[in-house]
Amino acid sequence: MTKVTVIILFFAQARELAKLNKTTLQVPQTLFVHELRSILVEKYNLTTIGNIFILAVNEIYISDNLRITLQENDVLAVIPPISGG
Amino acid sequence: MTTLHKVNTDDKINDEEINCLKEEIALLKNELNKKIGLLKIKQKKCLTNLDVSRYSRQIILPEIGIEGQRKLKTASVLIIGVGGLGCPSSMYLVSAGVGTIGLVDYDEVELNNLHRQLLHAQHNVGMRKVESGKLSLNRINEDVNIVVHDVQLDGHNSLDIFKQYDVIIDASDNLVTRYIINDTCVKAGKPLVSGSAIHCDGQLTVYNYKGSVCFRCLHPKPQSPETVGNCASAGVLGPVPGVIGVLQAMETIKIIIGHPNVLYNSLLLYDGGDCDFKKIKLINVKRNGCICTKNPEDITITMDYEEFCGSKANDKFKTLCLLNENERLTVLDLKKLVSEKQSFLIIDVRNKIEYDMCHLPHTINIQLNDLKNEETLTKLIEKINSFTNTKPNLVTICRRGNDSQRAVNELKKHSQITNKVNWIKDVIGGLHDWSMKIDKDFPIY
Repeated sequence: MTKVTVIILFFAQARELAKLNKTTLQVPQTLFVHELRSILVEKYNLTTIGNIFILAVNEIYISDNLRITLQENDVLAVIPPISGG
Repeated sequence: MTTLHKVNTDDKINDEEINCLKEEIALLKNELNKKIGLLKIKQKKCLTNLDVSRYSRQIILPEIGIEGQRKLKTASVLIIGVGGLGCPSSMYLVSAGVGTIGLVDYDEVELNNLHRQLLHAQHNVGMRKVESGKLSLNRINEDVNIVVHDVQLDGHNSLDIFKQYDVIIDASDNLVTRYIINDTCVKAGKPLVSGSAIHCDGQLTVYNYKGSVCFRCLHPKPQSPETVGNCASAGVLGPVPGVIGVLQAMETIKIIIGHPNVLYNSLLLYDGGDCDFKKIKLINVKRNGCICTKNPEDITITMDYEEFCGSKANDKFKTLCLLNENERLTVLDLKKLVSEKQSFLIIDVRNKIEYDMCHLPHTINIQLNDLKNEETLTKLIEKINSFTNTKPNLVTICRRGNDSQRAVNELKKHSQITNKVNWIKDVIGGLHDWSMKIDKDFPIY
């Protein structure tokens, strides 16, 4: 299985849970978005927001049922909703 | 007899004249009122010379012009929440000359609002937020019609309110209200300028505009409030909702004037910590069967939104009951315990920042999460063992009395602790209650 290294950006609550702003991770090049979600939840302590954060690749939203092929240095964004004001 | 008759005739003539004049005056009054009404309508729809002078700096922009300013003057905008987001957005819209602004809020101004809610002044603490907001906004621009809706928004009252406005701004502080606002906008066919902020993070997008996605497309499942937090528990830096609120005003103006580049089908992320903006394209987000794909007549908005979200339609504190009554102290019990100089150990389980903000004397600070840490526990046990003559009592305390209960349950798991103490109890209502009932000078936050 080919793997690629991607950049991951964490926003809002995800940043606090992961204790990171930004990191890199090796992931399978081709996979379903829900599989990618599980990898991120496991690796970065995101269980509490596991099914509510949205994911974007290179600043484009990706839905869970998509099968995607990632490229080296693609930028993933983990974006939980915010409801405060 | 003759004289009397004459007088009578004169009277009759006078009466007729007077009646005639009265009728004439009534007609003229009617005419005048019509003309005043017409003038008001004209003035509302047209720009006066004063308007042109007042708004000249924006009218001069090609994007606005006389036509754009006239659109702003005849537009109506509803702002839900007169808080961190609603204050800046309403200030800019009122200043820009939007004709009618509706304000929805059920709450009062609190001291801890003032660091970010700039419409409310120190002397307005305790006042209804909508009233305080109206006063300040009319001070900025007395020509704008400010309509107050002093209600808690729900699925039963929202539609009638939304129907009166052209654009809706979500400046609320909780998830339940966000779902109510979304569903009502979809049903009423109103564009929704949605903003949110917490800590140093902000988000902004326009839902339900020109067939764009709705809030439910992006967030079909509500998150539990404990995991996402609110401004009261997680904190927020004032300029963050300031930035987002001002951007909400900007997008609202763009919608009103028909600007081509409104922020729809994109989500703007603001990271105040890094001073970074990112725009996420919302492509293929719309879900089959989502509320926004239905006919407006088929949409019902009377569901129990609080049950759906598992939380309340406010950002207020929710009290938990995890312990038995005999495992809990009131603040009066605590005061007695301290004054009687019994041997006790009070553990304040809040995080260090909060402990540094304010704490009771003779307390130690161990964060709730650290009670799971071996090293911390060992130190605590040593401290308990240092009470040589007598078994101490163990008291846990926190901000409002939830985490202190969790702490008691955590401590009870360890026999090295339970065997060495008389009892372990928490303080009902925590430091908030201490401040309300024992020491009014103790800070409430």
